[in-house]
Amino acid sequence: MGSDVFEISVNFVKMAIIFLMMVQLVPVLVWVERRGSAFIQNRLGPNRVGPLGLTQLLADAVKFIFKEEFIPAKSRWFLFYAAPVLSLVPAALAFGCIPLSIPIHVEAFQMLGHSWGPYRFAFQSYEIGVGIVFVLGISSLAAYALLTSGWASFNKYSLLGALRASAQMISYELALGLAIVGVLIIYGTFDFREMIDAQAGPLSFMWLGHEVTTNWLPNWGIFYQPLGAVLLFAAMFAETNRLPFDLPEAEAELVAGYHTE
Amino acid sequence: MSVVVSVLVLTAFVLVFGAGLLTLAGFLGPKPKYSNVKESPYECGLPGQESGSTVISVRFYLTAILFILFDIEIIFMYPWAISFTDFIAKGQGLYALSAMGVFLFIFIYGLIWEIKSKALEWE
Repeated sequence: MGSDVFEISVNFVKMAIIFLMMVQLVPVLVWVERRGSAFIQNRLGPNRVGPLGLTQLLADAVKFIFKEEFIPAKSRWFLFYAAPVLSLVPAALAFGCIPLSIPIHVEAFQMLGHSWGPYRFAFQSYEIGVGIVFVLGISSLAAYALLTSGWASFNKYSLLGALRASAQMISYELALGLAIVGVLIIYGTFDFREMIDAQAGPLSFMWLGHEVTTNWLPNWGIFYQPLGAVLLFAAMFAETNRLPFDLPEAEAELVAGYHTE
Repeated sequence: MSVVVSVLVLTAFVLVFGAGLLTLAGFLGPKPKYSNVKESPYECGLPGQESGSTVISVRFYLTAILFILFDIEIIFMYPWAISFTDFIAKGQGLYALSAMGVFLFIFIYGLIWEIKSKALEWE
């Protein structure tokens, strides 16, 4: 966490801010998805509340807070409440070790009669040397939250949906893991920080014996591993049970899958 | 060590945040009026037929275990992938590649064996 009071408290605040930032991202991303799919399908999408419908999701969130909290009779009420909270944890932990910017260096300064040493604050909740392995391991914990929610609501649609969702998460982790191997070969590290440092500058590669540098393309890993990137995106959509892979929420068969109740 | 503390602190913070939102909803929302129909598990509208804990086939878990095994075998590729460029720098790239080739051969042979022994079939 840190060596003295100042560093520990700054790290606490940083953690909370990064987590709240992730929570703030959700409405924006949902807006992008709803609006984008609406434009693709030649509809309007949410456009009533606020400019371009941007505050629609904020209104939705407020509405959700004022909704009735209801437990079905036969459900395991503790797990029924715990499941949505549990599903937040893997997302927050995985987002926490992604570096958002370069680290900040603070010079030594005098305050309250003490000298506070030079600090280095990374722009992430915590720095983990094996970042990618940590993210993979933590994100597979999300299957537990899904299974809990499906089992606790004591409804056969929920249970079947949760089983499908967990099976899908398990199976697409294979593709996710294999897509990452190419990245590991190129950068030779598990650490996100080193990977990002290696992607600085314009794209340069060896082509027929000379080094080619392009000024108009950044040195991103996606240009070294396009196949891996496509696989990773497909596997990510499947892991989060999004639309092309929405078997767990197949509306015709399972009503709404594990969030029926 | 400090990373473990950070992860635990963040976990606790997230749990408190989520539980806080739930209790806030419980305080602010209208009190639910319970009735027999409302409390029953959601089905197609007729009186409930089946209990929520239906029997799930054991084959489902067997297939899931096979997937987990493959997942673990994929994890074995990671250290190799990390040190592959070092092997190339030492001039031993072919050796490292063939070692991984042998591993992958066993991996795929296991898959073929599973298909041959009808472990992946669903009757």
